[in-house]
Amino acid sequence: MAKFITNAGSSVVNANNNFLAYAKAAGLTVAVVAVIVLAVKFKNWGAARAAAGQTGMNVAQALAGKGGNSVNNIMNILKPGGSLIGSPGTSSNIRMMDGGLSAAQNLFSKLTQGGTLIQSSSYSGQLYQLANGGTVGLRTLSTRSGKNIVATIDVNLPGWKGIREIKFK
Amino acid sequence: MNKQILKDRILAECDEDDVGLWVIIWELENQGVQNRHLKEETLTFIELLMNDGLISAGHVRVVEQENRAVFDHWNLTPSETVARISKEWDKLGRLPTIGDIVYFTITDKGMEYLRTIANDTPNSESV
Repeated sequence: MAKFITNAGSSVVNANNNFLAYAKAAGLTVAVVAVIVLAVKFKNWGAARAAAGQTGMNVAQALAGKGGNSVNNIMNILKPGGSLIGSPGTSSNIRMMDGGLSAAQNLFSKLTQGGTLIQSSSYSGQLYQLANGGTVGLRTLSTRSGKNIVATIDVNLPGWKGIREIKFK
Repeated sequence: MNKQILKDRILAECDEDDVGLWVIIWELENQGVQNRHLKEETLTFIELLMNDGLISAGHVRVVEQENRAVFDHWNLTPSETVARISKEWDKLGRLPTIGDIVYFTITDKGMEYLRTIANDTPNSESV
């Protein structure tokens, strides 16, 4: 863990130094840049801290994903380039996507990488506990399947409220 | 978002899909309800919808041979439902997540309510 923290720390320092140089060239003050960097870090740290609080792991483990998907990786999958995947459903945190069951399975396997299948749940599909503390499920059946939905991915990532469900047509 | 908007949103979702307990918790958290108040707020919200006869509590059961899901209703009163959820929540010992404890489905009265608010919306399309 000490090695992880040291390595992670040095790469963060290098990344921040590069960003600082670009920002200075763009005319931003050091104080403004520091505020931006801290804001981004605090957002991810907050998500990791919430995940850690629910699973008993420490914040560094939640950030790193403890051998599986980290909080950052999940966010990169669900919000690539800063925009949520798919289009809004009945609310903005329910996303609609095309591609049918194969697209759903493909995304589900990315999200659950390194996760643990939960066998004891009464969930009407496959449910995984993620290494970062979240839970993700894939189901193809519902008692009220509307709008030609063939599969739904349920997403519960502690500390992150971007997406709750992804429905596939 | 106030409770009325949350009520309409949850009912609209119940009309399209089975809604888990975790969804209500997720939405209340998203509204900024603190962890220590989450259980009380969640149970109050559920009891409100059930007292109005808009949702029913139970489990989603998959009938694999027929490739379909059925809703097994608990057939409890609102206060009995809330008491059962509270007991199972305590037994769980953590915040309920996907698949935990209970699911909700819309009732005929709930669907009627949704039709009413759709008709009351100024820009709703006439049938």
